[in-house]
Formats: sequence, C-alpha cells, structure tokens
Amino acid sequence: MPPPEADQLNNPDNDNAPGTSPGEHATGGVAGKLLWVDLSEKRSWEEVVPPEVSRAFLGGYGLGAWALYRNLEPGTDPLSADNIFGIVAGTLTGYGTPFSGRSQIVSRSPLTGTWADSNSGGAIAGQLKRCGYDGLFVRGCAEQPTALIIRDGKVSFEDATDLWGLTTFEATDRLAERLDREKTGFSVIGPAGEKQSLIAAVINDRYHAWGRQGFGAILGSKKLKAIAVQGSGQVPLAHPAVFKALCEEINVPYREAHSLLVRFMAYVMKTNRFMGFLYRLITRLGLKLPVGGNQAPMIRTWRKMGTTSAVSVSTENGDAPVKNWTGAGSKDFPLSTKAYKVSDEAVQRYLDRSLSCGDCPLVCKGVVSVKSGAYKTDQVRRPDYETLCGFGANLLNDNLESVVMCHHICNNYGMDAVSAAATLGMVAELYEKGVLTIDDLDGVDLRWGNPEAIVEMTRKMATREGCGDLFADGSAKAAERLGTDAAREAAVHVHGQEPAYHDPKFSMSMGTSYVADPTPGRHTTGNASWNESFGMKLPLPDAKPATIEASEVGLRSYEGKGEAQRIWSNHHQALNGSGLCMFSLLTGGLPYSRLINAATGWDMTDDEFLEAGERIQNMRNAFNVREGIKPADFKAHPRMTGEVPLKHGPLAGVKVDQQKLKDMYFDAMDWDRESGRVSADRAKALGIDETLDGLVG
Amino acid sequence: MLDTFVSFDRKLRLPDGCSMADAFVRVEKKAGVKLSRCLAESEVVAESILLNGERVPLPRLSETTLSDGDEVSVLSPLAGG
Repeated sequence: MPPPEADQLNNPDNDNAPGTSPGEHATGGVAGKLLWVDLSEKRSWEEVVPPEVSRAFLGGYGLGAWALYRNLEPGTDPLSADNIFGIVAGTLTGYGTPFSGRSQIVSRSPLTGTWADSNSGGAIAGQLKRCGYDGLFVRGCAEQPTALIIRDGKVSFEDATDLWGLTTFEATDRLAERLDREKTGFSVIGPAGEKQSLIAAVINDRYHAWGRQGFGAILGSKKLKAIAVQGSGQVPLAHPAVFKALCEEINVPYREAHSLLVRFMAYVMKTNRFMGFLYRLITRLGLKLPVGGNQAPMIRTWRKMGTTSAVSVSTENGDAPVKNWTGAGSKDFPLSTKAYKVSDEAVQRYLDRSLSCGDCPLVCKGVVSVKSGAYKTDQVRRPDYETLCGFGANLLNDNLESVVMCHHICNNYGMDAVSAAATLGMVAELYEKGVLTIDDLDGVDLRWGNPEAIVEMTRKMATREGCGDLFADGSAKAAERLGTDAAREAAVHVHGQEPAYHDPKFSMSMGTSYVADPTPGRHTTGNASWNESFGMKLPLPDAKPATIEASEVGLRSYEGKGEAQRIWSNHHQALNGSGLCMFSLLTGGLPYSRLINAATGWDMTDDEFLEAGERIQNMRNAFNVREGIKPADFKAHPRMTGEVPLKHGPLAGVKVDQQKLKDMYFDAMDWDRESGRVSADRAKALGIDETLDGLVG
Repeated sequence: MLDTFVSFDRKLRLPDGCSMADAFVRVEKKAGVKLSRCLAESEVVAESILLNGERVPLPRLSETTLSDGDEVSVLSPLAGG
C-alpha cells in the first residue's frame, strides 16, 4: 500500500524544498512527518503522521512498525526493490536528552524473513529530526551505486561509484571531506553489504553498528552505499524549562561518579592511562573513594571499561557460552588463566580515548590502537562484551590483539560481529570433527584458539573470498549448504539468527527473548533477565504496585516469568520508541514518562508508557503473523536449553524449559500459542484493532 | 596449613581440612567483606560459587573441604552487552 504523496519534493515539476522550519505538523517532540525516497524513480515526498499515532506508538521502532505495517506488502522479498527500510528517530531524539544519541532502523530481514529492527549509536536520526522528519523510508533500487544526501530535507541522489568497494571507514571519511562530520549523520555499508552477505551490517558514524539481521544486505541490494543527513532546524519542545531541568537532574550522578580527588586528578593529568594507574594505586592502598548514590559504582565501571568489564566474570559463571555452546568457561577458558586476557583491564591498556554515541553522560564505548605486531590497528572501535566473548572465549582465543583485529574487520567491512563469530564457532567445531578439512578451508587451520586463522577466516567471510563465501551468510545458511547432520547440529541459531553470548541456562528469561521476541536470537529486546539475574528494579516508580511486584522474579523459579517478561519487554519497546539507550536502565533508570511529557506536552503516566511499549511489541509481532511465520518456527537449539547438557562448569546438567517460558509469555501477552495472533479483546483494549486490520485471534 | 585464598593483595592462612563454609567465615572476618549477607540476598551470586570451576550449591558448602591449590570463586554477575 503506497503512502499518500502529500508533497513531492525532488520532482522536476515541484521546486519546493521543506527547508529548516519544523512545519505545521510538528508538535512538541514530534515532527509529525516522514520523508519517503524512491531510489528507482529518484524522487521523494512526505507523509504526515497523525498525532494520535505518535502518541500511541511513540517514535523509533513503534513509528517504524506502524509505517511498515501499512506500507510494506506481505511476502516482499527482503532483497528486492520492493522492500522498504526506515530510519526512525525516537520521541526524545534530537534534543540532547541524556542517553538519546541513538538511531533506529526497521525493515524485513533477509536473514530470518521476520520483522527486523536495530538500535545503534549515531547521529543520523537526530539529524533527520532537525530536518523536520521523524523518519526516513526508502524503497526501490538505484541504477548505479548511490549516496543519498539529505540537507535540511533537500534530497540528492549522488553517484557513489567511486565509493563502491571502499570500507566503511574509507567511505565515511571520503564523505566527511565535504560534509561537516560534526553536523552530519552517516550510515554506510562496506564490502560485506555490497556483496549482500545476510549478516552484513550498516555502520553509523564510523564506529556504531546496526549489526544484526542483515540490514547491510538490504542497502546493498538497493545499491545504496551511503546515507548522509544534515539538519539545522529544531522540532520544538512543549515545556523546554522543565525538560532542561529534568536533563540536568539526570546528569548529576554522572558528574559525581568520581570523587573530588579523582576528578581533580583527571582534570590535570592525561585522563585515561593515569586514571587506570590511579585506580590500581588507590585500591592497593585500600583507600575508599567517597561516591554518591548506589548506582555510582556501576556508572564508574561502565564509563571506564564499558561492557568489557563483564567478559571474564561472565565466562566464568556460565553467562557467556564458549566453544560453540559445548564448553564451560571455568574449565575451557578459565578466568584466572585465559579469560582475564580478553577482559576489562587487559583491554583498557589499548585505549586511546572514550567514545560516545552522542548525547550521553555514560560514554561507555572506546577507541583503541594496537601499536605493533601482526594485528597492528590504528584508532579502531574497542571490542566490547559480545565481540570479546565471540572472537575470544567462544573460540578459546586468548589473543586480545587478534580479537581487536576481528572486530575491526567486522566494523570496517560492515559485518555483524555476533553472527560472524558464532559462524566461526560452527566452522571450528566441524574442522575439529573432520567434517571440514583444511582444503575445505582454503588452507586456514581454524583450530580452537588459533588467532591467525580466526582473523583470516573473518576477513574471508567479510569479502566472500574463497570458502568465506560459504560462511558469509551465517551459520544456518552454511549448515543448509553443507547439508550434513553434523553441520546442522553445530549451527546454533533460532530461525536463522545466532543468539548472542548470553546462555539462557544462566538466566532463563534471556532465552525467552531469543524464541519469543519477533526478532529471533536477540538479546537487546528487553527481558526479565534484568531483574532475574541482576536484581534491577523496574524504573517506573509511579506504575501500579501490582506491575512493579510482578516485574520481580527469582532466578531458577518459573513462577511469574511470563508476566515479568511482558512487563520488561514492553518497557524496553517504549524505551526504543522514546529513542533512548537501554543502558539508561542499567544505571538506575530515567524519569521516562516525565521526559516525554516535558517534550511533548502529553500527560503520559508510567502505566501508559508501558502500554505504548505493548502496542509497539504487538505491531512487531503482527508483522510476523502476517508473513505467515508461526511461533513454533522459533525453536531454541538443544545446546541453548540444556537438552544437550553441559558436562562441566557452573551450568553442568542445567536445563531450561524454553517452550514453557515462551508459552507463559504468550499467555501474558494474550497471543495465541499456535498462530501468534493477539486476542481481539486485547487489541481493542490497546486501541490497535483497526491498525491490525483484522489480524487478531 | 593451607594457603588457599589470595585476594587482591592479601593472603589468608586456612587450617587443614577447612570447609568452604568455614573459609567464607574467615574471609568475612579478615577482609571485612559481607559475604554471608551477599549470598543470602542474591540468588544469582549464591548460584555462582565455584570450586575449581565447578558449581558448589550453597547447602553443600559445609561438607566441601578445601585442598592445597584449590581455586574458589564467588562471582557477582555483570551485565554484558
């Protein structure tokens, strides 16, 4: 169903460019318009977003799901010109809101055939908002490699033949030679996306990735090498003074996360290396630093080391699967002898500088350099938890510098590090078993823990070179092509996508996300693990007491898990709709509904915030139902559930009844267990019965 | 006598035949770490007590004795990405 073409922009008969003013449709926090682009016809137009839609679904994934549900025909080939992708801003994007330096993308996945979305650091969504749009939607296919340049809403289709074949670093830097890097959001694909690897990523502003689900292949299929957006306007805020005060209040604990002494030392000395030395010195002396608030230690840890801080502990306690889900970290990659080499302080030694997504007080990412040796790299993205676990512990590889190189290959060639590392785990296992020979691997001796081979095979996958072509579409496709039982057993995936490096046997609700969320295998879609394993409290103090109570569950008990999963995943979707980072949750939460109300002038309550999240989750799910995807299609691999049990380590013999958890979640959401359809009553109560166009139980 | 525990910069001498439970009591006294409260309050930490890489359930701490060279871990989970 094509959208109404209210204004045609890049049409020879219409010279009207939208300019920088937010336009008549903008209300507080909401631009009220989408920008549509057709690459085949080289034209663009606007679509008005009704205010009630912005209220019901917020921005981000919510707006994206609403727009795609009504515009993308079911059965569309994800790599065809008819597929549509959208880049969407959240309700709080574009105002410097703490934790809002994020951009989101939506489409249909070529890897899984399901609903697809991803949330990355980067400026492009904020720049779209400054152009006066809540989102950019793209369809069609360019005749030649193209860069879409949008300046204050004026759209240019530029020949990108000279960029085609470049890495993401090269392409971004080339564009930044003529587009001010500080005022532009860049989204580019690398060679992996150009070659339509189903695990290809889109890279934002050089260092941030829309990694999962194959978005890079979608852009590659459209010959769209890059998108660059600059905007100089501002969508108004409803209550700017209130909004500013709330943001100030949020930032206070981040300033106080360091004691006065440490802040002074950081001010006068070279920050990163001295801070590391000072931290070690102070702890050796047994000094205690005064800190404010109970989230201060977490803030300090994450700011200093990001998620690298969790790698060695997670490997040891079983959270992180190792050796392609067949090993135990405490036995096969022990913290004290191996895991520490690819974790926290070991990684910190290579840090050049911290890296922010933008508009963030936490600044949990980093840029590193390996100054010499076989894996010399300069100013590349620091590998964080998933990559360190994937290319490190999972492959029994304690050579950190090789992990940095693998991560850089993924970043620079535009490939999902999670899927790539998981696929290598499958390959290493099959090689060990003799199912794949060294000739099959073009002479690459992919033994467990062989850093040279791991780097070489990563590069081959990213470029589809030689045997890399077999593995470049992920483990599920590789197993299908190999066609053996051993390959199928070794490919750990859920409906085509490999799960992240969190074992559901450690925290069972993570597994519920893997098999029940509309995007299979994802760990960043919200789940009750936050409370189940970390004891996080739902940061909605004004929600109904019964809701808050139901969000708290035990680790090993199944009691209440369905309702808890419903609450936490709804909260997460509302976070996405707001445009905020999920790490805001892990460092104490934010006054979410108050921020939204200050931006928009609405009077949303905490319960209504959750309800918006439930609508978003239902739209994401309905997309799959409409595509004919059944809940039973998302199956957990036996290694994830413990059906194939671990023999050693903290999770030895542990099993999780993933089907039971999925059923409990479906019941809590009022989704039919067989069809996945939401009940008519629940759809009506949420006000989405008409939007779903009859697709209810 | 056993040297079975090394913290960041301290050593603690444990008697022969010391159980894990007893070791924890001694650690708590020496290092001022509120280990027993942590184990009582956090199910996930209580599930993450390892002896040489294998989990030891809380009820078995008293009957599990330590030998020279053993490695004991009590792990608090950290959120990855």
